[in-house]
Amino acid sequence: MPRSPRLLRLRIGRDAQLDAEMLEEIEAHIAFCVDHLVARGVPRGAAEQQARERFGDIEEARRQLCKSARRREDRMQRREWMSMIRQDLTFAFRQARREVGVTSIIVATLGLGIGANLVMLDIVDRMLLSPPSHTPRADRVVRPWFERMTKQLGQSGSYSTNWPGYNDLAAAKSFSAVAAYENPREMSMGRGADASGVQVSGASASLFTVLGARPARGRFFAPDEDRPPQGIPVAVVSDGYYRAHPDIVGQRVMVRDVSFTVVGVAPADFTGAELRPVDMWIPITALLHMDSGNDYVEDRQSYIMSTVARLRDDVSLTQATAEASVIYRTHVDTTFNLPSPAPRVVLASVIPARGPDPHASATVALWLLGVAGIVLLIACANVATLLLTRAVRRSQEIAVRLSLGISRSRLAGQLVVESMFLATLAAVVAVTVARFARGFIQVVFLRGIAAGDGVAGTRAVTVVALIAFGTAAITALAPALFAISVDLSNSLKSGGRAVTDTRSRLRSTLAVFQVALSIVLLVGAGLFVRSLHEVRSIPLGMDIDRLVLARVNLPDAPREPVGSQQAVASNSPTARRDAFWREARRRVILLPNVADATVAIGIPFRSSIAFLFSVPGRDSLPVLKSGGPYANGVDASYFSTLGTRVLRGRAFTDADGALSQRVAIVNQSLAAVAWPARDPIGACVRIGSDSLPCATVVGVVEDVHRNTVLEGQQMQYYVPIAQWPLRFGAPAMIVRSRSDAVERTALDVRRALQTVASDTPYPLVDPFATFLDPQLASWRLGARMFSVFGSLAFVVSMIGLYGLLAYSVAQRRHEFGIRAALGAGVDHIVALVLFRGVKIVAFGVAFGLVVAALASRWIASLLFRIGPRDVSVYVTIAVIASAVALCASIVPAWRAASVDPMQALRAD
Amino acid sequence: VDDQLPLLKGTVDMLVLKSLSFGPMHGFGISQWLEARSSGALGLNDSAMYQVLHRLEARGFVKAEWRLTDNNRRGRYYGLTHAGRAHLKAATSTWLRYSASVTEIMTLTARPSPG
Repeated sequence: MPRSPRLLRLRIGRDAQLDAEMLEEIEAHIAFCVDHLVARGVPRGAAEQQARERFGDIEEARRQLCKSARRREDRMQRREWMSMIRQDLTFAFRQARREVGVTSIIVATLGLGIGANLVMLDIVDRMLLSPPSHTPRADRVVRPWFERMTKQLGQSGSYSTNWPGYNDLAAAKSFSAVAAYENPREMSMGRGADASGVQVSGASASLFTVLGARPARGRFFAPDEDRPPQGIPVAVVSDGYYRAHPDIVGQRVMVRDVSFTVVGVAPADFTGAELRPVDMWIPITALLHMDSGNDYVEDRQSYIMSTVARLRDDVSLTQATAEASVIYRTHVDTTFNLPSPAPRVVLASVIPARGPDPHASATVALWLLGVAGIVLLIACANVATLLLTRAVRRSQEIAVRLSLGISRSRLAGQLVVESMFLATLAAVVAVTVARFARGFIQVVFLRGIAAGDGVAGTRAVTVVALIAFGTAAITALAPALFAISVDLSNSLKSGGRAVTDTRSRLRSTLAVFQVALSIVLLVGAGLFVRSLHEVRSIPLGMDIDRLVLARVNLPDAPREPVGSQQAVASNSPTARRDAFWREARRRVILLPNVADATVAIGIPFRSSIAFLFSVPGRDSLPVLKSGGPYANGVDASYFSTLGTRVLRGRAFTDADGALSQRVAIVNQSLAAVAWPARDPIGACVRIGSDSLPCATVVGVVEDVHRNTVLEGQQMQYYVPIAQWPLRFGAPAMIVRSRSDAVERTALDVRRALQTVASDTPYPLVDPFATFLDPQLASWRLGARMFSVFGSLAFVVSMIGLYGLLAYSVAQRRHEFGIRAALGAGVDHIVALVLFRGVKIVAFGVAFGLVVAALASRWIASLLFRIGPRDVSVYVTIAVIASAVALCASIVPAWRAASVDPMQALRAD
Repeated sequence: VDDQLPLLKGTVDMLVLKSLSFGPMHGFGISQWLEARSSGALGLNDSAMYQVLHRLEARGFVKAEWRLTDNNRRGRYYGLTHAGRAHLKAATSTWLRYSASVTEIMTLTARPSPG
């Protein structure tokens, strides 16, 4: 009796069969042996016994035989599987080559979708899930968060403390080590033309101990290099800085006006306890001393540094929290000397986005992840449509193969392998996309977070593999189901033309779904763009997009009071500083990109100063919520440079000098408050001190915002910078660019400033708008995020729509041929195809608008001056989307109309 | 049975294949054939022999088939495949060269030592 080859038997029931067969063979063996012995004259009974004895333990033998047989079969089955998959892969590869167009669209669509998600997952991982790199046992590392009640703010908290506060905490028994650090800031390194800006962070020597980091090169600084009052000028540079300056270790570098010796290099990716990028760490005592001399040692009022601590092994979080709270309570009592109900300390996780004050970017990153997820969903729907379309196109081929005996499960498996193959290609594209997009997303959405080297990590690779194959499984589902359910006789008969209604309806539904989702994102984009526009159209009193701010940290020079002898002496620090800025302005206004430049003491959005101001004849000025009035010392070109309108009277001139008549200019709000009934021009005001002579108001200017975009009335006045009555207030320069290319202007200005004197520190020159960025961030971010991902989604869905229509036109060539032959006009056939497209878009847009209207309340609180259901946004998006969709439909429609009836009919 | 030689590793496959080179046989037949050809000096444990047979079958060197014997018993008959024949040929020539060399060396020890 012939047996089927063992290979093709299913595993279920296989073992039992193996077993039976082995037993049968052994029994046959015994029987042969008995026959043999009987033939030699042994009596049958004895022969039987001898035969069994000779064979040994039959049961054991059978078990052994079965075991090795099973092992062998498993191995062979695996090999069989592999060869099957290899076959399928070859098949998939051939298919992909045959349809390069569709394959590229699928791979590109999936690649973009997966890539976007990979980047976002990586960022979320860094911010929400991972402790800072190089921090072993990070669960024992905490960031103390100090909370107390204040009169102005109510219950409020922060990570900030000061030198005495840090020392109190460092004495706590619960911690094995406590560190203090200051957030990095740009500081000048070097002098003159070679000067550069570096991100410097002050850190206590214990920072590296607390985190547990080891230097990549050299050493970190030691506790005895970080003692008050000024530490030892040593520095540790970041890995990135070291790579750019490979011979820096052992060198001396000039930071501001102190010369530091570089003693070590931090490990790659190390950014301390937070994620802000740092170029260089210096002892915090050295930095504090540079900032404020010895004052910091006793200063309990300034809150300038954050702390991070490692718990002792035998101490619980609760115990440590209790001890830290007691210490903090003492600190608050001695500092403020007023009863503050229960100040307390929260020991927050060192994972950046956890804790009482999560980084705003974390929320943003989660949003982005969600939006990226929607894009991937759309990409999936699109790819499913394409695969399904292809499966339908191949229905005849599938039917032929089915009738030749391939099993449906094998066929479905083949389709799955095919999508896996596509997914793998897509994963490769995704990683490439992610590598490029990482930088882009970092710059556009998440400034101030150090870029990690995350994309290459094993975690990220695992994730991308999971996403890719999950995506493949989902997208392969529909075509696989389709393949299984192909109706043999119909497909063979119809030459692959017949498409059942449900199938095409499924594809239409997927297309509607894609359009709807991208409409939702686009509406989001519209709402944020409108909000941003609204915010940006608030008059600020200055042409902020054209302005550049330049600051130079000149050696400390207290400004001598006006009229004193020193002010006249040409070699006093003040005179030297004024000379520097005079020369700087002279050089800067010669630059071709520069329209004008001004030197001023108060800088809008940066700094403002208030001091005694009175109007003779009025007891007191009404107090506005915003405080003030605020003073500013400006030169003759200030208002023209900023673009601030002079409403009445005049601006300052060069004639308003130190020794000429004292004058002042007030802003609109101050004029309205101080002289409600009369013209302020010619009025007398006393500035700085009652003993000083009257300053005459010579002009009224429009309000310039002092601090924020969304602020109320501000009372402000201006005096000529030469008549500035205070010792303090360092001037800076504001430059007006001729063009919108302010970044370039900023570079030119920096270069010009660097050559003013050979000992000029690195000038900090930035487009003015960058100072506004944090205030506009939420709207700008929303606008960019939804615009980028919304457009991506929309493009993908339009590709989907186009593919769908183009395919159905190809399918219906025959039908169109007949129609044309029967006399249907071109317009009729075009209308037929367009109608299908319009129907999908209409449903998609309508559905999308409804979902958007429902979902938009989640972002309502983030919008400015427009409602989440702003009709103009919805209408605009609907119109634009429909117009584009119509364009995407026209090409296939036109192709349908140009079908040659003769050819189409002959094709069968 | 007691003075049977233990089989050298690697030779069993070759011996089994050799036994089948004259025509298909069942397991008991092979074991009888081996015993008879070596005058009882080469003995193979029956269950081990089946292991070998099954392995050879999996590697495609032999093919098995249930058949009826002359006296109407069902037996699983093993026969050489083309691959099996080729393998046997290669194994035989290797073995002959190998054993000749080994024999030559091993017989050298009979020479009297100088001294």
